[in-house]
Amino acid sequence: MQGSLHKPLIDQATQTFVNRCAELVLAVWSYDGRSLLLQETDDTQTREHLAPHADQLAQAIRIKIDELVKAGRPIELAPGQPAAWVADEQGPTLGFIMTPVPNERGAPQTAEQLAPVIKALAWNLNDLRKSDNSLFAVEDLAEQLGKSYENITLLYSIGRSMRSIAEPVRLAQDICEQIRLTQGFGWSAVRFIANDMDASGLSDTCVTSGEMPCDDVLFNKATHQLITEQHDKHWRKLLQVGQDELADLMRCEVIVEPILHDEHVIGAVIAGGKTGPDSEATSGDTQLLDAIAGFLGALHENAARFTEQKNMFIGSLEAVSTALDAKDRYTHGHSERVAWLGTQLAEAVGLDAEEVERIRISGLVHDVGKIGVPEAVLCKAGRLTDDEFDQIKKHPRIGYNILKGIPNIDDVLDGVLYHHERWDGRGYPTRLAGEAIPLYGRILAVADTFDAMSSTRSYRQAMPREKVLKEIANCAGSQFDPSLTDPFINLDFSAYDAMVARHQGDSEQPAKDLAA
Amino acid sequence: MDNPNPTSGADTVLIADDEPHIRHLVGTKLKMAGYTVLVASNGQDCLDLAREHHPELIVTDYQMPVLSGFEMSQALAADHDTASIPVILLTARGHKLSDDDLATTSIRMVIDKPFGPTDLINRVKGMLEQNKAA
Repeated sequence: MQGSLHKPLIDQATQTFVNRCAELVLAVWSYDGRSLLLQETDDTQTREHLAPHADQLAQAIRIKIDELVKAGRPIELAPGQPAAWVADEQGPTLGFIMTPVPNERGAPQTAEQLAPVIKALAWNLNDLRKSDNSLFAVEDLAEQLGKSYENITLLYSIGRSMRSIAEPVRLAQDICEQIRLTQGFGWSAVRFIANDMDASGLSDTCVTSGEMPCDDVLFNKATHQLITEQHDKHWRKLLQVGQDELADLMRCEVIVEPILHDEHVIGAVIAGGKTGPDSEATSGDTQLLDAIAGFLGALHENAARFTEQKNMFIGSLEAVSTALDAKDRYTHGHSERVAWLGTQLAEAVGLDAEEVERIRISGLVHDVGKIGVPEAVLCKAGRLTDDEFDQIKKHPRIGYNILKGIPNIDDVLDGVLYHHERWDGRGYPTRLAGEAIPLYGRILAVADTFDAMSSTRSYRQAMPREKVLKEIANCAGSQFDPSLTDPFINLDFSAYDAMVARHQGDSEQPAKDLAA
Repeated sequence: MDNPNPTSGADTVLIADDEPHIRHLVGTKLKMAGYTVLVASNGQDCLDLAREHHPELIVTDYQMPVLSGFEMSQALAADHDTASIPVILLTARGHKLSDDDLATTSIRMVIDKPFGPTDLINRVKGMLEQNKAA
């Protein structure tokens, strides 16, 4: 609580005291181990007396401070100079400089005579100082508590947002922003270095907040170099201007806390340019950044696991759909093509990336229910009987039943169950109509029909592109959602054609797939 | 932990804290101020280093594994070989130590965490000067 002696409350009290006792006391001095403060009386006459000696007195107190403290009684600072009295032996030293000459009011003049009076006053002042200290301590604690609360809130909100790890870069950006705002940094950054094996989606990420003192390219390069040089997991840095490249680049002290994965440094939290009265990084700053770096390490790991699991999940779905398509050489690659067409149409009608991905998955598995339809019916050349067609019509429901056990894929199931519904309500299995049919079902209906018409089936030859698109346009409002047909017809099908060519190659050499 | 052999000339300050970021922060600032720095991550290591190297000053955390900063400071005070080494104790704010407790140790000053490093360095300087003058 150093310096609290100089707080306004004490200043005011000592000033009042010095003025009231001007005939006894010239000045109050205090010494906190570093700086000496002389508080002189406002009384002109006594001021005049003190002024020529003030510096000399201050110097004498500094020299004799230990003697003063030990003596515990008045001593002479110099021959003929006023004596001083130590009022407090603990903490900052407090004393008085007394008037050396008799005044007209006949006040006591020797140090011994003054002693009891001054000692009593010193005690008062000391009490005041203590209460000032505790007042200061309370203010300080309150401020600290507020700060701790902010930090806890920050860590809590980060911890909570870790649940949604589908978009780790955006989360890193949010965290970066909050570091800067909570701790009053001029700028902050979260940097992950490039790694081809990194499945987290955070590889080679650099997000920043605040006004960066240098351009992004330089910053990316400098931080990449800094992080890749580090192999020690205990590495951390307080970079200084004049000593470290990055600090020179940023023109300020820079805190760097490493982000670890399996004990390897994979990135860092970086901040600097602290604003406000105290521009220096405190132990509170380094502690918070240390904690956040820990969170980001966990975020990275979660994101990587999430991606791996998602890939594994989609991989299994792809395997199922490939296995299904392989049952019938005419439908080889059908699911993959419908998935592709579905994503193109979804993008064309403005769905976001996440929904496009869901459409893709839905397209991959839309025919999975055909597993439950006898092969003889599926691959039959020639016209189906009503009974056979009824069996075919069960596949959306069967597919739905197969997949519904998988958590969190309701919208994917929509594409599976409703891809044979018609806009006019004459489709199957539920005969829903218009917008009552979920969007994914309506999108896949167009994609599915397009691919079926475009490929050779057991019961007919492939139709030319022009005829297929004309058929799609004709069915707007009857079979298809009329808002989807135009965007579909306008798609670029060159990637689709390449896919068809590849699938034909595959189906002519089925042994190649098995060997691979 | 890289503990160089203290070279003659510069005063040696021993830092003990189980939190690496504190060791780094204080260590960096002390080195910048021209001191030779030794570091320990618990009270026992700190005590061993103090006995071996006789640093001019110790800055220690209060709560540490194996031996707390307080227990370590008691052990320093009890050993006439190390009793003269002054200790600055870093504690969590609001953690109060009584004068009677402090009297059994070599602790000369208590500083609340979190702290600003410049303030800490100034106190280290002041204490070293005071110690030399005495």
